[in-house]
Amino acid sequence: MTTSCLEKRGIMSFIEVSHVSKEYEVLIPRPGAKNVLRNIFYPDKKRVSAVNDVSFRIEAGELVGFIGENGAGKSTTIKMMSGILFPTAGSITVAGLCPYRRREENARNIGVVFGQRSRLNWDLPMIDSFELYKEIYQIDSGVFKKNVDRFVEMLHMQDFYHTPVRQLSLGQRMKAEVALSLLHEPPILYMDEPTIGLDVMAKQQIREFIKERNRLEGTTTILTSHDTKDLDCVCQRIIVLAKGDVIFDGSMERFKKEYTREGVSDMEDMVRSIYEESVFTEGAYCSTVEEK
Amino acid sequence: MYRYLRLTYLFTKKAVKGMLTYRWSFLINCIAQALDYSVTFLLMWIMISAFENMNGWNAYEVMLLYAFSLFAYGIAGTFFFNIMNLLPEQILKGTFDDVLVKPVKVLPYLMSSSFICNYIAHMTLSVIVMVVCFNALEIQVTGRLLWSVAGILLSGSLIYGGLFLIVSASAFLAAKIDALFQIMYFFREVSYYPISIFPRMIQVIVTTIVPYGFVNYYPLRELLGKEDNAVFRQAAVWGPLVAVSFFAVSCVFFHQSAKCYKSSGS
Repeated sequence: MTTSCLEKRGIMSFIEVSHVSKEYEVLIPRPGAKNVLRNIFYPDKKRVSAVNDVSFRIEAGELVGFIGENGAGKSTTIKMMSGILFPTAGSITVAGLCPYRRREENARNIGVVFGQRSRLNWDLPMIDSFELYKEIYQIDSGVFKKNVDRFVEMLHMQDFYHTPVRQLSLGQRMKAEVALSLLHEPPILYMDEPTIGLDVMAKQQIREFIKERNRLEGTTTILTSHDTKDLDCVCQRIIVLAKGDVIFDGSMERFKKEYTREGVSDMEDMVRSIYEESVFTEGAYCSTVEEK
Repeated sequence: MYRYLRLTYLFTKKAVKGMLTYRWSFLINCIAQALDYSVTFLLMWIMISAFENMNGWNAYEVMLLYAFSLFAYGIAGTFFFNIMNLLPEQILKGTFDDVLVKPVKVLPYLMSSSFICNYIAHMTLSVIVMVVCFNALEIQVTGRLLWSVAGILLSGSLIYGGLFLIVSASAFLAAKIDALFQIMYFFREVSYYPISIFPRMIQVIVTTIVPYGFVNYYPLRELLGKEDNAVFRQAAVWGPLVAVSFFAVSCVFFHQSAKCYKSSGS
């Protein structure tokens, strides 16, 4: 185990991401029938960087929003912090543990919601999935009952609590997903686009729920969303990623102050202007910009 | 260990509960499977009784080969078939992430969550055939015989389990595993017959690369005292060792391959 992964509580922040990069190898097929064999045995490879020398620290109890275009590296960063992916370079410490080296222990500290995926048993009511998670996370019966009761109440799930998941609406399912990820009372919650495709009411209830959990339990939350209202409503701090780099890291007030310009006061417009600026700095994209 | 047994029980309970919501499809599936294998047994019996024997093996002896293979396949399938069936898609779509964010060991967890009881039908069918065959061959069912049978079936299921694991693990490396799947099932067909009837090359393959020979042919050759012209005549003694080491190597291969998981989506 490298020293960067040793527990250094006290000196270190709750979550430390330092100089982390993640590269993927992508095969580039050559066109044409004569290259078929070559593509199989000697394919041309390209290294694509998803995350590029990213560093940030997050303290316990913070509510942090990740902003970035599709492919900016938000999900990859979250996956590395969850222990799913190994970084190509750099190191990560989450609650004193190195997530990808001590995946199992780290898994007890985190709750994860991927908005584009469902982990609920499709044919059964949500309570059956909850019971499975009770066993997987070895949750004490008393704690389990207390949490289920509270989550059902807070997320207004009483009406569809006993309905098979396949008959639920997207919003109802996502509420159940959020509840599922917090049953074991993790100190850290990662949410990757939890409000994607939801209606206004469901979004609002999920936002309130995250804030409530943060206020009561001090759950450190990292949230990505393309709905700027989510971030505006929930997050105290914003980290902006562009092409795998951190281009802004600071409080919500500073974010707004910095990006409020003439004619730009709405948060969505601010985010768009950031994306457009990041395109200007990227040489490869200049031609598309000039065409405008 | 206890934890994963409890998980297996709970997963199975939920799976059965879920299946019962589609009760007709469940029932039809059971009937179809039983029919499929019964017909295979029947065809085999007709074919072999027409030919009298296959390289010195009579119809009942060849049926025994099939029954042993089917039973071992059933045990292994109970724990591993669904891993092979579901893992490639989980890897391709990136939903394998959900396993990695849980505080569980990957392989025991997959075994618990993929446990299926469908294979009870296979196993019942093969036991019936075994009893019928032992009877017809006038083999006394002694305690010693039962121990040998249990040992053979255990070795066989370790080999099948290993094959399931290797094919599943390849999904981490290659994403699509249809071809390996085909190879696995092609050689399984070979193992339904006395492998001494096949060309030398195939005999070598099913003894060394995909060791189906140790599932049924070699141990039964020893048990029934057959003296045919197989390439490897002393292979039976190595059976248990081959089975255990093959399974161990498969587990290691699975764990190493799982490290290549790259995730995908969102």
